[in-house]
Amino acid sequence: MQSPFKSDPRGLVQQFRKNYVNLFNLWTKGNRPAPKGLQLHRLAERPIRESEIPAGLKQLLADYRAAHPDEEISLVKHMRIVNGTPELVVEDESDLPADQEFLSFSQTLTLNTVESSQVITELFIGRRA
Amino acid sequence: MPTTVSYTFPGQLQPSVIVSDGDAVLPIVVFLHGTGGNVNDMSNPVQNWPLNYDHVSPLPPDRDEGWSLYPGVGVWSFNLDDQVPVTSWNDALQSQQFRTVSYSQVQPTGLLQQPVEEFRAIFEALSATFPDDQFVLLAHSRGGLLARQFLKDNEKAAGRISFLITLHSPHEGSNLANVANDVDGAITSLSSIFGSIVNTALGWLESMVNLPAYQELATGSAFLRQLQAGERPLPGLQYFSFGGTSVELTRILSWVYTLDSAIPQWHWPPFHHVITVIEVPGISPVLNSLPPITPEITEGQGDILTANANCHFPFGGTVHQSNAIDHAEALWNTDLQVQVLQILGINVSGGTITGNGNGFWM
Repeated sequence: MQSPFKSDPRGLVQQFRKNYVNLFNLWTKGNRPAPKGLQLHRLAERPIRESEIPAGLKQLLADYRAAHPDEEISLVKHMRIVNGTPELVVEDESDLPADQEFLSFSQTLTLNTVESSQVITELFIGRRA
Repeated sequence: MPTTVSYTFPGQLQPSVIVSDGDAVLPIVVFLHGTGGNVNDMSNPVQNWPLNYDHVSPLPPDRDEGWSLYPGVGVWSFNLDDQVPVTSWNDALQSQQFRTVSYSQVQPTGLLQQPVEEFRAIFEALSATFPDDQFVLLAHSRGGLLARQFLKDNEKAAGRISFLITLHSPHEGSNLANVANDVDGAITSLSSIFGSIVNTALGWLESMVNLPAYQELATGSAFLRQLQAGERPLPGLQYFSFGGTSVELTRILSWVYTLDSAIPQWHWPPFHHVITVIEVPGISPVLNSLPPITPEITEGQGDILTANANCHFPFGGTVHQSNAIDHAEALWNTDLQVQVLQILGINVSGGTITGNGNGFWM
């Protein structure tokens, strides 16, 4: 049994890689259509701008950079999911960065009233150099 | 063929007992159940006491719950340990060719006087039906005090009884009965935090300690004082008592999402839910989490309902043994069954019952 409250960073990255599916390939070259309403962009066509990063995540990234001043971080993949539907995916045919270069950060935000509910997940993948 | 033995007792709707078939050379084992029990305590104990939790096996492995659109965070479920099959005293004794008798006492949750008088009628009927046989009284919990009161009131019966073996009988009373309100409070407090699962695990205890039958056995009660006054071991009768020192009834387990379940993957759907089981901190194992108000519910000293130190006969010339089991487990614990069979002359090796004995009864 693993402790649910202790993290294994290397294991998490390896698990991430094991679960990885290139969604760009899946939805452009496979026989599975992209979900309705999805904006699917190549990274070269639409680079991921740091201004798109939500404030909380931006602070998390800033803290990481402060703790690792020698590292350059470039953003290589971005996915936004709204109420269970992918709204935006920025990706291309590239694989994930190697384990030592890999970085991911994400957040899930919710807002709930009697009239509506919103669940938004933002996931970014970066390359450390 | 099993033998039906009828007797007369007011208020008993089924005034007969059945003596099972077996080896006529061996004594007839009469089982006396405890407070709130009935005839099933000997034949199918988990029907009345579904407390056969497997609290020693390793916890199950993690479970993959598949992919989801949303993160998995927090608690998936609460549950108790799985329940496991048990061997009843009937099965253990009859497998060694002992004839057995069990019955449902009148007023099993009331005061002891009526069950004692009823047993006198039953024993007279059994003695008359089997005039050449010896008997063993095997008593669980309050059944041991029933047997003592019966023998005190009917000393001549001892000539037909070879052994009195009591299993977790509070011969010197129960401190828990004296602090029933504190027990109620402790259980209520746990329930308010953890909900109905606490009632599933401990509701029976709360009910039990408030019964008149249990209150009668409070340490220093009038009943115990009169029972001990002038009581003496009867010649020719061998006395064995057993007590328990484990209050680990069941673990309270919780399936919780692993950390990975909250981290989105580059995958569609993005969240891979995996749950893992943990013992709930601060409450598991369940009885250990109650404050050690009395020895009865203190690990190493009691079996949840009785304190090992109070399960000795209150007179000399007796043998006492304790096991790290709880009160209900005394109804099916295999090691205890082996120990009792050894007392009755059955050869046992390596904890396995191997067959009829060493000629003790020949």
